[in-house]
Amino acid sequence: MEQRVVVTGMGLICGQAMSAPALFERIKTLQSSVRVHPGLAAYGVANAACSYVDEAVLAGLAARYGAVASRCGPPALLALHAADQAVANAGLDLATVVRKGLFAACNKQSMEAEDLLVLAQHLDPHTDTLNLDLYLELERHDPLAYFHKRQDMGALALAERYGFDDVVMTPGDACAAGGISIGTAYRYIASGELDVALAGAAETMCNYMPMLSFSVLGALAPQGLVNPGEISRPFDKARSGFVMGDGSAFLVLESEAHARARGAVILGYISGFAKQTEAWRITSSPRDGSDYARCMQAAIRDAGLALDDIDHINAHGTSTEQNDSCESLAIKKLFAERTAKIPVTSNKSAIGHSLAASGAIEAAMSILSLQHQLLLPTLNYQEPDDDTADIQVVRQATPAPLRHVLSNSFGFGGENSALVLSAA
Amino acid sequence: MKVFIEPGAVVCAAATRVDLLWQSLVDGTVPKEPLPCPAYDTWPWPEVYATPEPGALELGVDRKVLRTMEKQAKLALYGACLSADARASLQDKHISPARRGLYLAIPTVDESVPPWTLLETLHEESAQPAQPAELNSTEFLLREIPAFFGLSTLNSNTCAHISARFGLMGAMGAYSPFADAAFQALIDAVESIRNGENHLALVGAVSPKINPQLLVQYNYWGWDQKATRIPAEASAFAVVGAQPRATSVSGFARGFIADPAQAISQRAALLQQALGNAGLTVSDLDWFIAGEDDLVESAALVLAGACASLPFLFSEAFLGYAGAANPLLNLNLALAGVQQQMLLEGDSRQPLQCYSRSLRHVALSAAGPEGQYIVVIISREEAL
Repeated sequence: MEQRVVVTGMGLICGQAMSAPALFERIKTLQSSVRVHPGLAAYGVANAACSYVDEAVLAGLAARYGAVASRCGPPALLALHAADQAVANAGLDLATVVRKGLFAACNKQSMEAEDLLVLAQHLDPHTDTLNLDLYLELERHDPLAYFHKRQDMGALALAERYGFDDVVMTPGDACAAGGISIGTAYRYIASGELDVALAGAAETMCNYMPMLSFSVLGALAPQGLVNPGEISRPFDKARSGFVMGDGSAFLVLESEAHARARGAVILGYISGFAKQTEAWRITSSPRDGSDYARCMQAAIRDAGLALDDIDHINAHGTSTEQNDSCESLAIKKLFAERTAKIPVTSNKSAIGHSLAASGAIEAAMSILSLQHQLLLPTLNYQEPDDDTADIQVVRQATPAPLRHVLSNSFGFGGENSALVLSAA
Repeated sequence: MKVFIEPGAVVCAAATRVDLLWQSLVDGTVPKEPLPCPAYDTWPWPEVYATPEPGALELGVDRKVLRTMEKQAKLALYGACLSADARASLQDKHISPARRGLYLAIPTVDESVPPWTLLETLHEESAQPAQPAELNSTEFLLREIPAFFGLSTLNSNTCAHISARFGLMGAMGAYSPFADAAFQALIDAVESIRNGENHLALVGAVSPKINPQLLVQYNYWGWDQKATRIPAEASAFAVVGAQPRATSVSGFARGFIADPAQAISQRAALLQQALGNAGLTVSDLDWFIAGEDDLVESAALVLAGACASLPFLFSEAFLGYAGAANPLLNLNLALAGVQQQMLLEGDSRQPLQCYSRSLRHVALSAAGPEGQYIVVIISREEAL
């Protein structure tokens, strides 16, 4: 028998927000977390505006988590912070849960600029060799920085911290990975295989190589002369690309029976999920939005709901020309005349795009919207273009009766996911 | 609901067909190549199981597309192409593309990050302290970084090439980074068939690329001290679906064994759990193919109650270590063995033997270095 899946805990760190309620409040009051990263600007990165987590915060987390910091790297630190909050919020002693799983999404990381410089000093360009022996023996610099690239370091740190000994998974599905992490956990609980899951994602891409790589790709918005907080403008006619973000969010998911048996406070439900590939292009989806629409429809169907039941869409809304056009056309294709009645928001307007983490962060914001019966605004939205016209982009925090929210995550390479989250 | 499994393709140093891989193992002719990258002084293996990088012709893609792919993506796509040639089901027009899934295990997709050119530039500039090294390097990099550099190292990009090539538009998943990821992918593909998301799914895995950073990892894990753990490059695939075939995935179990002292007992428990899921006991097993550390695996088998004569294969001793690809290479060997009613037996202590045997149930394991462990049972159907 299918189990209903509830959310009983949430934790988050993102840009300048250290918790989910803090981020909700920041977006509600139209505060952007996008700033010029002084380190990246000093390295000559032209578009150094991003929603980064401060070095001081990372240093504080490194001090709190000790040896894990050196071994596992920045994404794991954010994951530990967010997961600790989520578990505390759930009031759950995970050690007492037998059938529990961990789903911690992350994409491949890159070496920090400082690590590259140290590594470069061990290169002999005349013989074209890298003196790895000397590098490995470094005392001043941490050779374990090499391993920070691995996607699963956050998952391993969490597995050890909480004693996960069954399902431990590291989804690596680019920008859709966070949504897929939560959705996969939902499937495991719904099918009865697990009672409890810790599901989310972490990503720290506000560093040198990712910023350069995505800049060369043309996906990052140019910094230009505008205020950094105004660069990310999903669905707006003047949008010009996304801004990078750091972040992590984790949810504690339980079967409803398990949560009720222990008297847990239910924050919301995960009601439906879909994840799909699309056979289109590496950097874009069908321009008519048909594959995004197919994914959204599959999630709504999985929830056993009708299109009319969806009250709000937390969009992928990256602020790139292509994504927002496709997503708008998909919404219009799927919801037809109801499009005018469905408020749409993009949290990325305030916090940038934290790739894998974005889907998990947006799921947390969706749950809070359901709890507070409040639509979050999309910052910087002023005027639509032809494709985004008719999309009801929320511009101010607005009270609204909300039962079901659709949260989209669409990844490079056509890996798409959609979650349906429902009020408790 | 029963989920069936068919062999896909293998791409490795020995062969691009499983029958040829089998023969290479029997003949002891799996080729090694000189290490294709710099290594630290104490690196012990001058030769490794490197696999040639497939080109545009083999992959059937435009040269422009090749620019968006690193070697691992190419190995994966090549394996998928060969699987499509071998398995008509992947081209079955009766199955909607929206019901064809893709599940891939991909370790860190490694281009030479940091790019060699970057290191060279940084190195040269660090010798000129009066000049702000980083600024020039950034300008240099912005000129030199290939347009798709940011994507070519994403797992999703590797998936996308395969999805786009074969019209796989159903439910999907990408898993990282160690050997256990291959069976995570397989299990989720099986579950996607059971819950109706997909009618069939291509399951694949690819190894890490042999590069200096991989060797540093070997140093970190102490793998460079293990005689069997010679790096290998490979990809391997299988196809699962609801359509009846000769072999099914009859059981599985997975765990995370954080305490190495519990490795033997917990591996034994997981084997029994997987067999229990399949409605079997350890006495029903006809063949065990070990994913990692044959001494620990042998001890776990004994603890689980397996008889001493249970045929045991530790293919890493003969093929090298291809990370996430190893379990699916093993799976293809198991499927070939079940089909032929032949098996391979051998490990780090015993030379390889090939002989006929009635095979019905085969257990395969996969393990990651930090305690990840999965057992999968495949079973020959008595009658279709």
